[in-house]
Amino acid sequence: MTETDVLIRLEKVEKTYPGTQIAAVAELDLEVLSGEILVLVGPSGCGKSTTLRLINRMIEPTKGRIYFEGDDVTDVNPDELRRKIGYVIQQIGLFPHRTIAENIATVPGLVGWGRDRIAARVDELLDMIGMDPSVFRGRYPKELSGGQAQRVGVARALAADPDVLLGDEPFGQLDAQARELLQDEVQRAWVASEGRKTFLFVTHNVREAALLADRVLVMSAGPGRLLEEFRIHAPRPRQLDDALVSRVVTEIHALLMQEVNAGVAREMGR
Amino acid sequence: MSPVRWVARELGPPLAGIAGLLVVWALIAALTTTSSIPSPADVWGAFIEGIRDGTLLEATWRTLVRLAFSFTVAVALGTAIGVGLALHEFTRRSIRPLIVALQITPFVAWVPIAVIWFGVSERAVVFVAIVGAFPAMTLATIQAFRQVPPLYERAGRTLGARGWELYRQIIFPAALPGYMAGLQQAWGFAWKALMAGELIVAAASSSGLGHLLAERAGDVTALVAGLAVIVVIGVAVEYLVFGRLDRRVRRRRGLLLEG
Repeated sequence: MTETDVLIRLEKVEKTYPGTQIAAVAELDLEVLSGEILVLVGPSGCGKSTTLRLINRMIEPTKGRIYFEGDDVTDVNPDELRRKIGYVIQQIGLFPHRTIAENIATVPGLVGWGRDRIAARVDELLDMIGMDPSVFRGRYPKELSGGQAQRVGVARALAADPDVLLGDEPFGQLDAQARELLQDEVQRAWVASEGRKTFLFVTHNVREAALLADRVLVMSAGPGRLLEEFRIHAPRPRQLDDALVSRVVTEIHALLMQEVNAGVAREMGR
Repeated sequence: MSPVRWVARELGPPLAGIAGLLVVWALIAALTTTSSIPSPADVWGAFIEGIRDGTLLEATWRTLVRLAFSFTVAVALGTAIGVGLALHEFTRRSIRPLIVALQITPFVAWVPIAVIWFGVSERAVVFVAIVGAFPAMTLATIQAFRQVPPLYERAGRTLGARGWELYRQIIFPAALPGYMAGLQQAWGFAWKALMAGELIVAAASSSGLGHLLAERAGDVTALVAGLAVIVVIGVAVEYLVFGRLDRRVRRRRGLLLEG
């Protein structure tokens, strides 16, 4: 593997939030390869979200270095960095004063797209997430269900067609059908990009991880560390009942159960 | 729904309330012998008289101009100070208690000082109205900003919005509902303080509704007519200006359930 294949690299990264004893993540070495789908799974509090927020510099590491496209992220302008990286935050965070179309258009507006191009892009994305543009374009976030809001959050992150998408539980509030729709859409977008797009997701859902990922990284809690890596070499689009996908699901489940039990034991012994 | 039915549904209850008040008032006026309770008809007569000789219209106009001026100054002052204090924690913690002190001080207490500073003049009256209104505007502005959920700022920053853009596109609009509540409060204070100022600082040169009341102190019928005008102006501004603004903002954010 050559150096140019590595898009994001974390070296011995530690993050300890002010006022806490235990690091949220510690000794974290992580490489995200250009063009892969990488999914982080692990119990609550294992530092999955922290890892994502470190990458786009919403928080700064206590120790260690983070590189994006070979540059130390502390040397680049954080706003420019964030505009290049699509990011679906866990709490969705749609702006209540902006219509659905205006919410989706946030980043294209910031980077100065023309009005017609933005309008066309908004309609394209609304179609993609299965929400009729003529119905939803002018609505406000308060009028949406939780699942619809989350889909709009995903569309907003994808609006400026970033090559890198980070997602913190991006499908966490969707019902089964909408979840499948977006999972298919992620796979389709990845296939269509011909290896140009890199996705890094965090999820609780092991089946989703195995369905989407080239690699699944399992993390442990308190402090967050990498526990194990699962590689899944299966062509896309995949189905949940593919033999390899379901075998990996079983293995990850077994590992996570072990980890949760160990965590409980640690907690009791403390 | 037909327009007629809409009017009936929207205006029916408040009109019934007003009619009820007039009936009770007329009954009390008819059943008591004292001359200090004029009947609705007498007051209506005094009102028409005031319109005809021009005194009432003149006073109303002058008062409204004063109100517009002092409200505008209070809003500008309150917004500027409020935004400044919302953005800077040390300044907020040092200045906010002083603004709170101004806010809970009855505005009438400023009248004697205003007269010493500005004389028995238009300026004294306007000063009292501004001092009465701007603390509420300031506090509401601070509150409006502090109530913007940190999530919106975080979402904005995650998407790469920064500095002025972050404020213009996300923080200011998100603070708007709280700010509008501040406008409504500030106008109420400006209106009350202005009336108090006009009533007490009764300069002949600066007639207004408050002066009219002071001038006609012996004529209860004229007093009630003047009071009625003051009440109607207050209710009209409250409903037609601020009620509408508030509904518009809330409807735009999907916060208003339409029946």
